[in-house]
Amino acid sequence: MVSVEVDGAERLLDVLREKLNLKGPKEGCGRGDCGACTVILDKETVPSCLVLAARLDGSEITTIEGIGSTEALHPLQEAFIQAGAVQCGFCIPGMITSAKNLLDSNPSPTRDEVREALVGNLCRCTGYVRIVEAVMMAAERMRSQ
Amino acid sequence: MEIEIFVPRTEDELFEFLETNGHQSKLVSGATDLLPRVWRGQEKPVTLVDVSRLAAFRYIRREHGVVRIGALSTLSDLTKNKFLGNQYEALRRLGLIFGSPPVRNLATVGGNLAASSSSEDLIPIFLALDARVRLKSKTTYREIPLEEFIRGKRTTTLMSNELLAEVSFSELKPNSWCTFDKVGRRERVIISLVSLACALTLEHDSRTVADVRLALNRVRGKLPERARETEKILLGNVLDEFKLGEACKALETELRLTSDFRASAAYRTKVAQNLLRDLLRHCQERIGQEGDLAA
Repeated sequence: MVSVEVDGAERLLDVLREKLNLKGPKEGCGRGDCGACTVILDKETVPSCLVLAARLDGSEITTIEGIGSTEALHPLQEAFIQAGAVQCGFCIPGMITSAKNLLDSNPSPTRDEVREALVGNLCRCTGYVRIVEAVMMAAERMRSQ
Repeated sequence: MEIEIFVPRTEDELFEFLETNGHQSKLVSGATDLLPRVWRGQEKPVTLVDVSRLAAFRYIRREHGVVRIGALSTLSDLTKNKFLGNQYEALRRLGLIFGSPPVRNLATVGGNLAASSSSEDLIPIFLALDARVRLKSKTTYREIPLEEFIRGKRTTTLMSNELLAEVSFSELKPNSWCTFDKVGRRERVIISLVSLACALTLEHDSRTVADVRLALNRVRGKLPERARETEKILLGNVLDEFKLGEACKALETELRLTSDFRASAAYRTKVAQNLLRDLLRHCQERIGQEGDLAA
């Protein structure tokens, strides 16, 4: 539980990065198009660049910092590394956040379902193929655990 | 940026605030359209009134043959809803072609309608469903056709002390289907160059048009409208290749599109005709397959 004062029209993204020092969510476009700022708000993904922080009293927010840790990577993070799905890394926090949210509700997605779930996360580096493979790999591992 | 924000916890708090401050405030729910405009300086409200916590306006229900959708229902609420039957394919299609999952989780029905532009996908759909909107204030409410609510680009008939509370429409009759499609520059996360919503009802022969409502993101101006002249061509007639051809010609005559940096008028017109043919055929096939559906 954290308590923070926010200014009138401050965005969740700004609060996370500037006031809570959570630099995982990134500002890519500021319009909700690119997905680099994706976080999980009360079990749903949202673009944090479009969420007014003042409305969030009592809400639960998960950023990439809350998914796995340096000591114990989440299966998605392991899979992204092993699949070679990371290049510059800028889109990855948002990608993994969206992928985690998908697997939370759909542990056995098809490739098409993975692509649809990630449709709001743009990547300029990888061409998405290895990202989709990584999510499928992680889903299989998580099912077998 | 000096903007105040007010987050009402109850309806009473909201309407009390709007009575005195509504004229210098902007209502915001998902903020997916408004906030970027605020950051760009295109909107300069003194106060943002964030109504997203008013759960009372987030519902989808049927009452006495009328579907009522609370304006704070999100696009995800709409697209994942299992309550409305297969006939409302237009709404389920939004789960594929409206924005992305994070945006659908945030964007609201009311916000999309109140944005009042040719980019708003819900407007053609609800025009095709012949919807009405409920505008609520502290002491009263009024219901008007959606067509009357949309006045101009980003301009509606909402008064400064009102909230767009609900959109409603009569349930589709048996032997009906409502679908929607849009064409943009890519497959997903697109601003529509052309979008078309089609609500078709056939007689029991599954060929004769009993009712048809067509709405596009642009018809005569730069706002969504019904294509009523094209509808007249189809009404009461058998939906065959000849009649589809006539309807496409009628649509070409009815459309008064303009070219802009996104697309030419000629392209938009051709795409609109293609969509008309495809969606009418699709509706006819679905009605034929699903049989005599209860609404």
